[in-house]
Amino acid sequence: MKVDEAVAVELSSTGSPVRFRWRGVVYGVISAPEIWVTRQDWWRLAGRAPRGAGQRLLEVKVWRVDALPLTDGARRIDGTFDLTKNPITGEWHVASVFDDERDQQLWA
Amino acid sequence: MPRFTHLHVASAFSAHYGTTPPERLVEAAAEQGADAAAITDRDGLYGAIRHVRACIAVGIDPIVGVDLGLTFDPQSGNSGRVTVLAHGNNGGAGWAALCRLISAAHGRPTKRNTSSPATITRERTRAFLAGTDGPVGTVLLGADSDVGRAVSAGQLKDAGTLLERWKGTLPGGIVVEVVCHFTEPGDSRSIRHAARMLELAEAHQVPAVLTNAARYLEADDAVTGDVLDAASQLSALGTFSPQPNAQAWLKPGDEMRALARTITDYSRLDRRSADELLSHTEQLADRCRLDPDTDLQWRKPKVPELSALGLSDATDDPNQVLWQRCEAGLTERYDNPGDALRLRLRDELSTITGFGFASYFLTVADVSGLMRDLRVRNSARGSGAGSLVNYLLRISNVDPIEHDLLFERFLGKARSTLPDIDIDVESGRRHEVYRAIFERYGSDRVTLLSMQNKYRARGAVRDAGLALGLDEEQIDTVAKNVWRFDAKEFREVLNKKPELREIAELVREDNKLDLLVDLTERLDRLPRHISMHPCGVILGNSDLLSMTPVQPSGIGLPMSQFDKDDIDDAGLLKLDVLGVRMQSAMAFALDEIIRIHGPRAAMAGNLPLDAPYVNPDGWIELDAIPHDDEPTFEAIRTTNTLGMFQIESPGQRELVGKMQPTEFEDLIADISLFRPGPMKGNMVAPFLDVKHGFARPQYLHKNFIWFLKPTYGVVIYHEQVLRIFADCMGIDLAQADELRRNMEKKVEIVEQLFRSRTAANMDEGKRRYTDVEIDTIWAALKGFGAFGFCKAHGAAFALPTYQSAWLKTHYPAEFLSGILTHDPGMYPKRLLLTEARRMGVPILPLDVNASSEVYHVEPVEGAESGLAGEGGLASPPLGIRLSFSDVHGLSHSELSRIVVGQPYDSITDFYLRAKPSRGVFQRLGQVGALDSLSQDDRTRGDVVARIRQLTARKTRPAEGEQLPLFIDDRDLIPTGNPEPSAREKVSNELDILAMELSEHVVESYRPMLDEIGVTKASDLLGLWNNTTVLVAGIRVATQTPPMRSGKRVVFISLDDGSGCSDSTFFEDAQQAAGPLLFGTKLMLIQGKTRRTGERGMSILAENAWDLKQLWAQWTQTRKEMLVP
Repeated sequence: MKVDEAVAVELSSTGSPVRFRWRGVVYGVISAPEIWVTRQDWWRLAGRAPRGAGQRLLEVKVWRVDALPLTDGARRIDGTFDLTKNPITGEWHVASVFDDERDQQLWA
Repeated sequence: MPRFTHLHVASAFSAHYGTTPPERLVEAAAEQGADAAAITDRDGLYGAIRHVRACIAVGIDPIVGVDLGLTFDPQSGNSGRVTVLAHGNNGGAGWAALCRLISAAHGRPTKRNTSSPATITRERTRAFLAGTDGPVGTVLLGADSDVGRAVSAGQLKDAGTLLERWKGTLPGGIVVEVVCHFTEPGDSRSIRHAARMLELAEAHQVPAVLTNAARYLEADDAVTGDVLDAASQLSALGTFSPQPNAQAWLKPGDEMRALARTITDYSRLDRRSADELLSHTEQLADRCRLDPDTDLQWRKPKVPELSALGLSDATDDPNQVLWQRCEAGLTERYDNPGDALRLRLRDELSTITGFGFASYFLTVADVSGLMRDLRVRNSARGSGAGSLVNYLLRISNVDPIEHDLLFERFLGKARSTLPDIDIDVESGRRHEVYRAIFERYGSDRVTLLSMQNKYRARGAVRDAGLALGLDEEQIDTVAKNVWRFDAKEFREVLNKKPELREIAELVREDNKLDLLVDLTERLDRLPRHISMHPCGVILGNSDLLSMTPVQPSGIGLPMSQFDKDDIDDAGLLKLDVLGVRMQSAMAFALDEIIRIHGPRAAMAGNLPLDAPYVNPDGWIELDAIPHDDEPTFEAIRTTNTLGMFQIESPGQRELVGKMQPTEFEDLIADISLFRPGPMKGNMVAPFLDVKHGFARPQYLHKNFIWFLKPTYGVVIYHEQVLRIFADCMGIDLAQADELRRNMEKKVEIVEQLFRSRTAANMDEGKRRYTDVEIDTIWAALKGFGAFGFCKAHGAAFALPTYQSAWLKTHYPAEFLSGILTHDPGMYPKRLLLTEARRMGVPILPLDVNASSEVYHVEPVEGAESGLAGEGGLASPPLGIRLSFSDVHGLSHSELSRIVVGQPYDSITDFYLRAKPSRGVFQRLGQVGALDSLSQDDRTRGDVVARIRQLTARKTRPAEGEQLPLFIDDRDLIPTGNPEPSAREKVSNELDILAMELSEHVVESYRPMLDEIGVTKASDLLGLWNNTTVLVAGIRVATQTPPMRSGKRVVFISLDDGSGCSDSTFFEDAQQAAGPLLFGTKLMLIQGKTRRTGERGMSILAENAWDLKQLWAQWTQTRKEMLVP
């Protein structure tokens, strides 16, 4: 499920997410992140695309992690998260959440 | 250091896919430490020769393959793509197999098969790649192969079955290609996908190799890749599924090795597998290293066998045959061939045979003879005209002795690749010539040359605009204004050029357009698509198809995947058979002369009745006409050169007017001078001053007088530079040509050599040249050497120039009908009509009973005779009948129906038998083509009304229905409809025929032009220099020729019915005119007269206006004035 919401993330010494707080719940990462690379629609977001700016415009690095809720909250998810980091602002986002069982409840 | 070889790399020659030229990819690979580099373009070897050349240049081994589609299998639903690499060091077996595999994938060339996708079935790969001692190529089954797709779909069992089938098809020639682009886990090219591929290979005992399936050099180029994807999908970004990310770049070896480990870590295999993956990759790379010499016969000439020329491979010696043919030519071409001539022939032949080029010359002579047999006009162009051998073999029709042309300029002693011989033929019969060549030498030895069409500014704007989803109108606005500069400099020139002012404003306002500028720059020069070269034919030996892949060309003949830059290195013979419209126009004129005049041709053309070049039946041997015809030169000197080959442009008219040529040598000089170098170097002024007797010739040295005299002391030709070098330094002409070639790049070395050798050149103990003389001569050489022109080239060019001028002078109607039919020039046809009228040749209107698909000459009853002024020739009472070819919207089949059905008795008869579409019928009526089927008392309006009556019926009356043999419906034509006004007629004619007949388009603006005091073009010559004038007219030419200062100058020629005015726009005037400069057809220009010669007057423009806008304002103010 696409989410794309900003989150606060705590990183390990190697720059991998360890904990993050999303929708009032703190999650702990319980897997080695699987890193993959997705893309964005640069032609909608950028005003220019000069030579040299291509990779930054196009690519977004994604950390796919399994995580467990560590605190109480109204909606707690036990599932897989895609976390992305904006290459320019350094801000982290939850890009997607995979939790088939709870999907319907959450976004009904 | 461990190496990594990228085995799957698409260059920019994978059209609409790759983004990087092969040369840059090779350099990058070498910088990364690779000792071999592969190119695997989609569907062909388009970039392969460049790749090999680049590899040789940086000293690494080339690897060549192809990325090819698999034929869709309707049973299994399988398709996809595989990569095939040629094995090397096997005497070319791998290369040959690759070529033939690719040709097969493209299918047979038929007229219908123009661009079907290139695909191959698994089974067929065996036929090409199996080889006698094991496979000669390897198939890489990657992420997009049938196997790879099954794996990403999770159908591991199917994947295994497919892999086993491949193994069985080509044992020892199959590898699994592992690719990881870090896509979303589970997707194709994800780590998981790569790991499953690796496991599959292991399970089936097939070697696995690692590649990055690269399509760009750097990740930055992925943006360009997105735009290319949009262009190939013909849809905007965001409306299709784009590439997953920007990982498909040429990653350095370290990163690729790390990638191997990452993939194995994700697999069930142990870490040793990573090393194995990398070592298998290098083993395959080693197997595929090509040796350019043994695998490609790099740069070695491959010409047709003697047997293909009708000689015997076994008993004939090409050198001997060439000697004999030249000997025969000597007695044919010259009355008394003397010793000097024989010596020259011996010299040329010894160079030619020394290089082993005898078969090449025999081949070209054979082709040239083939064209003569077809009676296709042809003439060699280029430096080849400098060869006596070419003249004797009748490849060229320019006598090198008469014009002092040098063989050494054509073929030096150092040259080892085949020289170029270009032959001009009638453009209308070019394809016929091609087919004849294929027929004669067989399609295993002949193929057409291709060319890569690259993105230029306009196309780049269009495709980038499409990718961004801009609307048509917006794209159009920008595209119409971007030309005359490199797309790469778009942003730079945007704020500099006055005509782009409005575009720059739009870009500032609109984000998308700002982005468009960047994307346009990115696309610049990328190959777009391949097409047939307009003139190149490749001739080879019977192994040609093992050297180059071929694909359908669109005209039913195969075309090589190589372009002109590949030919030398591939060792192939390229024959440039250039279609020249002027040759067609002249051939047409000659046919008209014999058709109209027959045995009276000489008299009709005011020629001596016993002229040896006119056959009794009226056929004129144009290549045999004398080159000193005074009426022809007089006609040229009037500068009314419209239609004359190469001397009709405004710039040339100015030069011809200044030069006032009196002999053939002057024409050669004129053509050689009218180029950037000499114009910038101001070689024109001293030439003219001496010619007209204003100055004494300045010969560089008395030793040079004999060869500088024809050009009045000015060094114009390469041939003269060669003679100077040779005489000063005491070297031969071939060595002199080597020096000349190095003048630009290694000028210091040449100077040093020149000074030392010339100083050491002694004559009976005395120095031939003093130090002061050496300084002077060197200064001149340095100044002129690089600008010089090959005289042989100029002489070959001057021949059709002179021939066309001769025809125009002696047979104006016949010549102009040829020009109108084949349209060889730079001007619109409407201007040619003006010229015909000026020469007293009446233009006969379109008539369904008299017109045809071409412009015919027709005797005119009661026409005025006499052509004043131009050489005093009486013009025959001949007119030119307009042709159907210019009727807007008239289809080919309609045209042939009309012509076949002629003559017609009535409008109804025409309607029933010619079956024109409603629109065409009406348009024909509007331009008066049916007037002759009407009554004298009926108007054009009546005819059009009758057409409306007929077409108003829902169904066309069937043939036979109520059809008497002769339908006379003249009485049925209604009456009382008004004759259209002159303005209406002109407007109809312009819309329908793109030219006006009743009166000149400018005439309807006459009241305004008269009121504001506009000068007619024909009256300009009578004005004083530096008079302020206004001229008006319709634009007929726009040029931005090279200028001495290097600044841009724009020439605009306007036609106002009385003739042509040429205006020059310098910087200020360009600013003032702004977007009008290139955008407006009907213009008013204000400026000052500037005398350019005895017969020349041009205008130094100050400002310009749009005539239509002015008219609107003018009529508005007049209305206001009328209203109280």
